[in-house]
Amino acid sequence: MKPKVILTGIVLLVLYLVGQKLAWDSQRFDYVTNYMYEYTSPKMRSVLAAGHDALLADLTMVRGIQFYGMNYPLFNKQPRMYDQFYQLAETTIGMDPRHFEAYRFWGFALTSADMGKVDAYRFLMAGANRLSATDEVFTIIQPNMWEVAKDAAYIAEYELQKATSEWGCDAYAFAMKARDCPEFVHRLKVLACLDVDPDPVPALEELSVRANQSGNVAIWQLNLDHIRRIISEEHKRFWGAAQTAYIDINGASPTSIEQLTRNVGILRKAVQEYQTVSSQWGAGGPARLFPNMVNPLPEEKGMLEYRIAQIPELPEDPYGGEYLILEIEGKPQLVGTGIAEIEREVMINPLNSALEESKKDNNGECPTDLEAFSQEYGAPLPIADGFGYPLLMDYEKCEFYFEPISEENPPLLPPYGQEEAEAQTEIDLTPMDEPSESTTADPLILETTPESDG
Amino acid sequence: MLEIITIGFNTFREAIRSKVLYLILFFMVLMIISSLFLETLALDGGDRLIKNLGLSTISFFGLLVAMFIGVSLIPQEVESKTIYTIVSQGVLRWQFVLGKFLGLIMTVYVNIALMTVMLLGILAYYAATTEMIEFTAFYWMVLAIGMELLEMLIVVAIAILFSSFSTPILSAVMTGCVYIIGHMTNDFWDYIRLQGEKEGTEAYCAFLKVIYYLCPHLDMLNLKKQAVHYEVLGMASASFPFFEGTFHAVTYTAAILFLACLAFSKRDF
Repeated sequence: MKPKVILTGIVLLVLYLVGQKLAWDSQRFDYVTNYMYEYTSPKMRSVLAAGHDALLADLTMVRGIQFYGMNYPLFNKQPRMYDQFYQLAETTIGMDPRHFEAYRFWGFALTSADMGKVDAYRFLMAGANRLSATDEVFTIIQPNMWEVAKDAAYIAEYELQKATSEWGCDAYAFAMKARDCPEFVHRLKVLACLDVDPDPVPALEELSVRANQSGNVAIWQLNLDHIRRIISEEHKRFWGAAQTAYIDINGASPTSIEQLTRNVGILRKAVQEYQTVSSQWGAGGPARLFPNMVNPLPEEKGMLEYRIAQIPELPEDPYGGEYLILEIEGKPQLVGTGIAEIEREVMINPLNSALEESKKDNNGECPTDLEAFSQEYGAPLPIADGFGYPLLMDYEKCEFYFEPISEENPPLLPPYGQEEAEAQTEIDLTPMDEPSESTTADPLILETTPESDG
Repeated sequence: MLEIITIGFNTFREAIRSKVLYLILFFMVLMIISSLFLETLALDGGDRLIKNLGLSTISFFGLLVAMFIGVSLIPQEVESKTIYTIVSQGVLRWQFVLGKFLGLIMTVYVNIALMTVMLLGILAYYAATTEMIEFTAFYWMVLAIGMELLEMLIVVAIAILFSSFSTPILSAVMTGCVYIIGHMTNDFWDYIRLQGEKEGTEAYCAFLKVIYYLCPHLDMLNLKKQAVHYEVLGMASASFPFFEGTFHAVTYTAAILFLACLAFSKRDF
């Protein structure tokens, strides 16, 4: 081979490699821009795709995923990167407006940028609108559309911190248009819409109707929990007004519930205050009082009903207990005992079941070493209940119990969970027949053994 | 009728010996297999990428077969002078054209059948390994491919029409253009509608409408997007103009073949 030919070959090879390198470098940094502006608009690309636009949309999404993986940490520092990424989203859904996966991906990915949270919400809501559009080809709202709208609501509620409270409510309400929208979205919608309009009546109405119609125990129970919570909040609002009125008159906080309920002047002020607030809800409807449950302790799947209280009715604990003012950690606090009783049951039932097991394993004998019992049966012993009443044990009956909640017998300990870690180090689980110094001095004792009484 | 079938089978035998066909087939297989690798890049959209890539491959490579093999079928016979032997044996020109159409459509359909088996196999494998695909997906895929068969009827007929009076290269280009235009008819209709809203455009719109009605409505036979979206809708909620599409494909093909026979009968060798 002639040297001239070899030389020409080498020169051509070098030029080729240089060209490739330049092309690679420019693509590496700008390939998305090139790609985006290759055609004039997503619509034009859709037309030029000649029926293959769904495939092009998929490939653009793959490109978007790669772009996100490479560049998302730069979105805040380089807004151009973010713009390019957003353009890829527009291109994808321009070619396939029903690209469910694209909406979900970009809905999540856009929130990586500070400036992208609002865009993500709008992108998802536009997607939910497109997925719910019907025509002669798509005769129904796309059943999985709710997931896109729910993502939008999530962004409004958590990423945007409810900056525009209507957004979350609107998005959940939109999700409910889809056939496959699950029940939990309905509950989320009720709660989100309470931020927009604090009027509890529409929320209670929706929750109770859906619970009564569903026939599903889990849905019924969850809706009942929400109804109780909403009513409880309204009662707090009323009692709060009553306490304020009491302080205005007496210059001190009330120490018993009777100080509020037996004083007509205070109740009148509380009623007026609640009615003033309620008249501002919704479209400025009539002033009214708080809601009460018709039956606070319904049977499983029983009818859930509420009614608006009329003067002189007082708030009735929606958990089936009563309202009291307890001195918890030295401060008088208005509490409902119903929820505390429920929590006590939740605490004690597994412990007493474990005790039963222990008795079976030990020829009917009640355990004396509670620390060993706790470890052996995997039943951690709480120190106190939610108000601070200590956990006690009746050795005669061989069961755990709490003392009754009453204003005359206020709790002595910090509420359960507040100072648990600290208290764990102090607890002495030795039974009373082997008293130690700490058990007599410390209120965190498990007591009332028959031996100690004798 | 026997003449048409004989020419059809001979054309088919000739076509499957073509190296171009095997090259196209190779790339079809490559494209469909590549969907298995691409789906891993698509997060939750993997299944729809496999479906879309498979359907587009079948449609696009069907067009390539029609373009690169179909357009040379008639000119080749004329160039090699074998047409004289055929015509002199009492085969009518229209029978020759229809025979060529039959042979080419058989070639395209065999290709599509192979690709369908492969695509459904890949989907079945994906369904078995990920449990992301439901049975209805297969139903809609088969229907979409069925619509592609009808689309190919029109495309092959157009390729035969152009090859009956033009050169192979020009015929290939024009077939490709008609394929693209056929998929733009919905957008073209939108354009006509927008023009119609302006004043003084009646004559222009009437002219556009004539062109619109002359175009093949391949958009009507494009079930690719719906095949993916309908999966979540449920059978009862899905609505696609199957009857209208089939009727359009059959009648349009018949009209194009009539024109092809007419053009070929006027042609001097």
